[in-house]
Parts: sequence; structure tokens; C-alpha cells
Amino acid sequence: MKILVAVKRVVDHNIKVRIKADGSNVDIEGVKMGVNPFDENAIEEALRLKEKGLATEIIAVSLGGTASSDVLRHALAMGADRAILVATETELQPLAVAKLLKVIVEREKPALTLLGKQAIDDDAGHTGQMLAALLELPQATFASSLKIEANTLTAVREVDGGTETLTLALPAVVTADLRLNEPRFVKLPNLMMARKKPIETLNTSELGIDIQPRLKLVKVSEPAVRKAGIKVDSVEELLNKLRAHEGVLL
Amino acid sequence: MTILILAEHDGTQLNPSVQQAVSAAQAWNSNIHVLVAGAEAVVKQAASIAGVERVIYANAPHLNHLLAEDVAGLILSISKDYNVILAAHSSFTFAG
Repeated sequence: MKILVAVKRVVDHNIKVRIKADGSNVDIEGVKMGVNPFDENAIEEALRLKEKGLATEIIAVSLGGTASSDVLRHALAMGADRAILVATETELQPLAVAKLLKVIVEREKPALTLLGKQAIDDDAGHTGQMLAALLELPQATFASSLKIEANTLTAVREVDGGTETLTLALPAVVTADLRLNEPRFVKLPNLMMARKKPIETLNTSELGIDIQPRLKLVKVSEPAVRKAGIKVDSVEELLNKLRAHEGVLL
Repeated sequence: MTILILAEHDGTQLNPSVQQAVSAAQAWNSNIHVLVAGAEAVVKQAASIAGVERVIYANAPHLNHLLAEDVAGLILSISKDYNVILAAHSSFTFAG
């Protein structure tokens, strides 16, 4: 059984991003980048399925500029068998990514396609869902547990009210929640070995898909600053403040 | 212009997010319809939200658990009548 894992190169999750002076976007010039954390959960789950003998080959795929090969190297170092870079300089939004991944899925025919539940840069959480719909495949999103038996996948989803358990027929699309597993650290020898593993580059121009962005980012701004609390010395002062400043009638 | 809002519910109660979606949709000052899949009990609640012009109700055993694949197919079957399809950004599940 082949597993395809999609990985995105995003701003490192420890970085506190700054907004550009004109408010048009965040400023990520020279900022440290890394693998989208939820995609690491996806890679880790694929590796565990392979270690259990349920998967034979893990293919990592990333979409974007040539720098995205960094995250593919990380996936290979974790244990993926080979990688595909779908290269483009065009800004890719979830729909375009889903359309491109569809081409890869149709080519590789994996029994399972794993993605992170959302990317930490746009927090969209759209791609997995769109991909499943385009492929007309079943989906289990926000998965915190995964079990495969014969051709059936049982997933527990983290949903707003608690959890939901679904069984799906393979092939299927699953998006990973943080609780799915704890991704392994990459050891230096594996990083070195990863350099020998193949990364195939496909140009989006070869794939004949309309990848033009559909959404325009109009403005980015800081969230409203939370007002500092005020300490008062007496109940009278508290009442005065409530009446005068908060308009509370007491 | 007409807006379709997707109702999330747990079989008996409409999720509050639906009312929020209706409020948000009022920014367009247009007709608002709500699509309820699977639970008759919820239809009246949807209809009683201020601003909702019509409730579309679809029921079939396979719609009872609000699974993405089935509900998406349902929405698609009526989507050409709408300019906007709106839903809460939730995990969309048959639960509270």
C-alpha cells in the first residue's frame, strides 16, 4: 500500500511574525522556515503504518518554490522513501494545491493520502477537504487516531463537541490533528542518508492546471490590543469605576 | 442574489453557529435560505431565525450523520441557484 503525504514549507512555528508597514501582508523576508507542524504528524503516521507492515512506500510531496525541497529532505530524513516537488513561483492557494495534488494522486494511486489539518501560515484547513471532494474519495479530517484493517480505515476525528469515529473504505484522504502522534526527531545520520534519496521535480506548467489565485489578500493587521486591567483600592472605587467607565448601573 | 447557509445540528438542536452565519449573511442584504439535511426537528428552528426567507430540507438515511461526502453532494445538487454558500468554519459534525 502506498501512502502519499503532502508537506508544506511555512514560517517556523516559534517565530513571531511582523506585519509589513503598509499592512499588505506579513513580512517573512529572511525569516526561519520549516515543515508545517501538522504535516509532521502526517509524515509520522505514514511511517508508523509502514513500520506496522501496512504500507510499502511513503511518498512525500511539496508544492511551491525550489526552497520547498528543504521540507522534502526533512520528510525523507524522517523516513519517507521518495519525494516529489511540484514547482512553481506562483502563489498557491488551497484550491490550486488540491487540484495539483489530485494529479499526483491519480499518478501514484496511493491507498491513503495524508495531510496536516491546516497550515500554520494561512490556517485555512481547506486543502484536504477539497482534495477528497475533487477525487470523490472519502475523508476523515482532524484525525487524532487512525487504524487500518484490510481495506478499511477507522479514524477518530477531533470535532468541536468532542470526538467522532468514522470508518472509510480505502483509498481515502485523512488530515492530521496534533494529537495523532508525536513526530520523531530527525537524527543527523538520517539527514545525511536523505540526501541520497530521490526528489523528482515536476513543473506546474507541465500539468495543465489553472493554479491562479482566486482570493486576494486585502489587508493584514494586528489583533486589538487587550486593555490592561486596573487595580482598585476599595469597593467604593470599584463601584465608581464600574459606573463611570463601564456604564454599569449599580 | 441568494445566499445558502448550511445548517449544522445534532439531530434535535440547531448549532448556534447557524444564527451567526445568518447574521453575517445579512451584510449582503439579500435573500437567505438555510439547508437542513437529515433532521426534521431542526427545520422549525431554522425557519424561526430572523432573516431566513426559506428553509430547504432534505432527508434520507444516509444524510442522518452529516458526513461531508453526502452533504457536499447535496449542496452541489442545488448550488447553481446560489451566489454564496456560507457555513461556519467548524469541524461540521453531527454533534453539539
